[in-house]
Amino acid sequence: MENMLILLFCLVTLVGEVKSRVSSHIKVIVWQGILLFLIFIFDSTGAPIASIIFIGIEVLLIRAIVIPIILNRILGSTESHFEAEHKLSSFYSLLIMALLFISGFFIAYGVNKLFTGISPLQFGMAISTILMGLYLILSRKKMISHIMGYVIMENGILLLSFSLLGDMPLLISVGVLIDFFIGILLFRYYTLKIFQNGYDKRGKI
Amino acid sequence: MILLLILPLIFSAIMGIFRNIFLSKLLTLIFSFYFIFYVIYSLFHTSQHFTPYFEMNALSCFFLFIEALLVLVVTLYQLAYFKGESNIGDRFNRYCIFYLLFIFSMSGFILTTNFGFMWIFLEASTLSSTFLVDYRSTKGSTIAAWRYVFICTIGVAFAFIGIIMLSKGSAPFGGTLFVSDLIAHAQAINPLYLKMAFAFIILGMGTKVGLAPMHAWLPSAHSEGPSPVSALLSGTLLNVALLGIIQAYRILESAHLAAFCQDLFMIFGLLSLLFSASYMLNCTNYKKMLAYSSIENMGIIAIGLSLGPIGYLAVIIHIVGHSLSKASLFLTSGVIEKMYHTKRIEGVKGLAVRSPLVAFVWILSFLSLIGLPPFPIFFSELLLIYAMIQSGHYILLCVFIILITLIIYGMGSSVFSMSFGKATHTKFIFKNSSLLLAGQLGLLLIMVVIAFYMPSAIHTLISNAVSIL
Amino acid sequence: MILILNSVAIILFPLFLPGLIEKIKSLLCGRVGAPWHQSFSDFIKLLQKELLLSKSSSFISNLAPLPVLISGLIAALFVPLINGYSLFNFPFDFVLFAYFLGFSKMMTLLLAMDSGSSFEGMGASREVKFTLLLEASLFLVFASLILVSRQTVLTQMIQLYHLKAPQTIIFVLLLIIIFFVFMLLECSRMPIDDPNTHLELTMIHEVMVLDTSSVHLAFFNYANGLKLYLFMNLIINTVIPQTHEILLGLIYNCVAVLILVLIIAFIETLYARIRLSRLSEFMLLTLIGAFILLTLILYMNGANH
Repeated sequence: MENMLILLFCLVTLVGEVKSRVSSHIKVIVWQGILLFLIFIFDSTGAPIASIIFIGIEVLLIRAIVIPIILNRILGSTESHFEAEHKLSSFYSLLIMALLFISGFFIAYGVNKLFTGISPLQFGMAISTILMGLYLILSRKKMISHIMGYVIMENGILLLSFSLLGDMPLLISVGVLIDFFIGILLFRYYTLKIFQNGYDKRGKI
Repeated sequence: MILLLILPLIFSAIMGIFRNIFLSKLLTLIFSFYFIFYVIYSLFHTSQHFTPYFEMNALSCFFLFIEALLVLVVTLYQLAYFKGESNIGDRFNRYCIFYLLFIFSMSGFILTTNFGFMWIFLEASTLSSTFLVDYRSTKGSTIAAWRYVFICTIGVAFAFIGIIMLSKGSAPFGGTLFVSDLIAHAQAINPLYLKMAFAFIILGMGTKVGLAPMHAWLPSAHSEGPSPVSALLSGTLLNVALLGIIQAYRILESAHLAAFCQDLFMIFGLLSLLFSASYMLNCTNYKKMLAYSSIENMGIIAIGLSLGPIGYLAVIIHIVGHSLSKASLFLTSGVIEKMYHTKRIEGVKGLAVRSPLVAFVWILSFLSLIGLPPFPIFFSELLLIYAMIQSGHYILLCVFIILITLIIYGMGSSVFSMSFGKATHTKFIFKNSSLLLAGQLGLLLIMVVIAFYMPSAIHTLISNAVSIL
Repeated sequence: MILILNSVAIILFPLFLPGLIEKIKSLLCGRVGAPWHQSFSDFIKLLQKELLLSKSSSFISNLAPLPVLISGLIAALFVPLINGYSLFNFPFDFVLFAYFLGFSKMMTLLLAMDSGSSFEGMGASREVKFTLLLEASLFLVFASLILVSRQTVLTQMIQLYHLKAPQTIIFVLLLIIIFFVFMLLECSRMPIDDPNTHLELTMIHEVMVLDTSSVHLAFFNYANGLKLYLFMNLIINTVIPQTHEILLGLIYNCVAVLILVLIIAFIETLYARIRLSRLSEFMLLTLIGAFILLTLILYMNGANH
């Protein structure tokens, strides 16, 4: 069951690549947050119940609700709606994203032989999501797309740390969250500033 | 040591409450003096602890010394630099607050022994220096600040992946992230974890160091900020991030995986040199030229690290030489910018005619950067070339020399075209304040003096730092 | 007995299917539309008309429609039809099936390029671009089918209903979707190709047979319907159990064909044709889907060891 969830987690990123609207990327992030929560609930073993519930709710709340709300605000206030423009053509962009997705499987297979004690599919898909988020950052022109790519990358990093460390130690989880949050707020501040001073052309620098 | 870390926080809180410009300037000055005195004191009392998280050893004392020196010079400089600015006031107050927070995050990073704390301090340094870069709030600087905060946050996220892998690798010993514990147990950690962790850490912290190809933020951020900020960023922040990579390198070294790290260092170093050389041959903005020269010097340091133990002394001397000369170059470029009100090289002509002292400092700093004796970079590059010949990397040597020559040619033609020639007639009259140049002269003097006479304390410091490496 | 029934099905069904689809489309749009046997009537009418060949075309225009028909019929030999029974099968016959389909497409392309108008050459190049990606996905789908069902005869490979594991639901779904997309491409249906348009900018398949008349056009229409029926049967036999009762099998088949006809009509009514630059992305997505299917099956197999 959780294998399905992990696969879906990476697939929605691929789906987000195909759709060309910026707001569909936000939906991708919402889905990823919900899936992360579900994966966490299904897969955590051994830790006390209170800690599991607390971290799970915190993940769900921040990654699936608060961050998309902030992203929507950025989207609205900088008026960079509609198409998420590619630098490559969308055909080759999709090809590269698909190759990154499939390389996640190969990484999972390779890791299976070498490591013990971690779930290989989680590891492979997490690295694949990080690479896909990185590719989103590199291949788009709009600033808001860059921020979306960063959020997707952070979701992948969360899955990676979850697969490596078992259940999340509280300190690391809270620390990452605070950093992530401040980063997003700072991004919002700067995108707003760039927009208000008219330094961008429809969302692209 | 407690005071060193707590004082910036207390001072910035006071500055935030009172919002008085004079008070802000006074507090920054007090702190910088305290900093340098503390570092000189700890030269004789190395190895002190605060809690298990903060510890001073020879390597961190060395980096702290450079930082203290630069902080002193920059603080004195900025008292006179911001005099002519139009909207001095609340903005300058916030600048001082973020300035102290920035110094706090850097000294915290240097002193800490835990990778988790290192990561926190690295992120804090990015967040606090973003405002410093965007002080003037023009189009160029806002876009530069956006690029800086974005790319460095991604880099720090990559470094986080590396730290997680380190923690997973040391899980048999309780998942410790302390550097000393990791070094002690390094042989027992799964080597694949160590290698992957190092790869991610060099990718992540290399973004902050400015190794190509992660250097995209560096030219714009270092050239758009006000000059004291650029001097600090180039002189100390790059060193601090380098220290992070070096800590990871020490762990792998004690696990006998040093060859892997050295390959990575060589690749990144050569790439940095290549990118830097390709810009220098036709540069139009002298502050960007200095920023690319920072990239080049970090590449040289990476190549030095890749040569193994014979290169370590060269690396340490190069760090000293680069920080001091780059700081003095940036500060002088601030003076030039105030005189000519342009950042373009063609806009600046005849510096020697208009103000011989500025031209003297400018050219002398440039000569110290490219490696003329008696400045430290001469010795470090000599040692590097000797190490390359000793370890048999002849092709590396040839490529290295060609690229550095290209860079020297590019930089030199710009610097000399700025200094000599007929002075352009400008409407701007600029009253030179002695404070603006005193710092650079002091730095240059220190560099010259080091070549001939080194106090024994500093000598032992350097040799201890090398042995730790 | 089943043999005769299947042969009659191959001949009759393709004549009526396109007309059925058109009728349902008209009803969905609120029109009365042409009668449901219109395609059959068209076929008869075309057979009685005079054959016209362009003076600037060569012997290929006279020759090409026949191989199209014949290769379609030969490909129909291997497909499981009513009762899951195919007229002829041997191991690895799906390769021959795919290649005969490809052969008929190649003859169509030759015909298009032979007519000497750049119009048709443009349609040919468009068609080739999409077929390129989709043929690859077809073979990937066949490979994953072999891995899942461990049979190599097309008739037995397809029958997935007896696999009980829960993850086969995803496989079956993905499989049906890919076959469906392939059907839409081969038979030039929306949202890949509009069968009713004759505008220069939007034709893909229609433009290749623009110059054909009477018998040749009848053959092309019939081959179109035949491919439609073949792929429908491929989809049907994935999920419907094989019985030995002839009547039951016939009822299953007719009902399923009707359901699929309804689905195609709905899709044709609801969706406009995808923009050409997006269409290649759509094909790539199908290819990726097939590749993911294969990788998934390999991973599950590998993980079980």
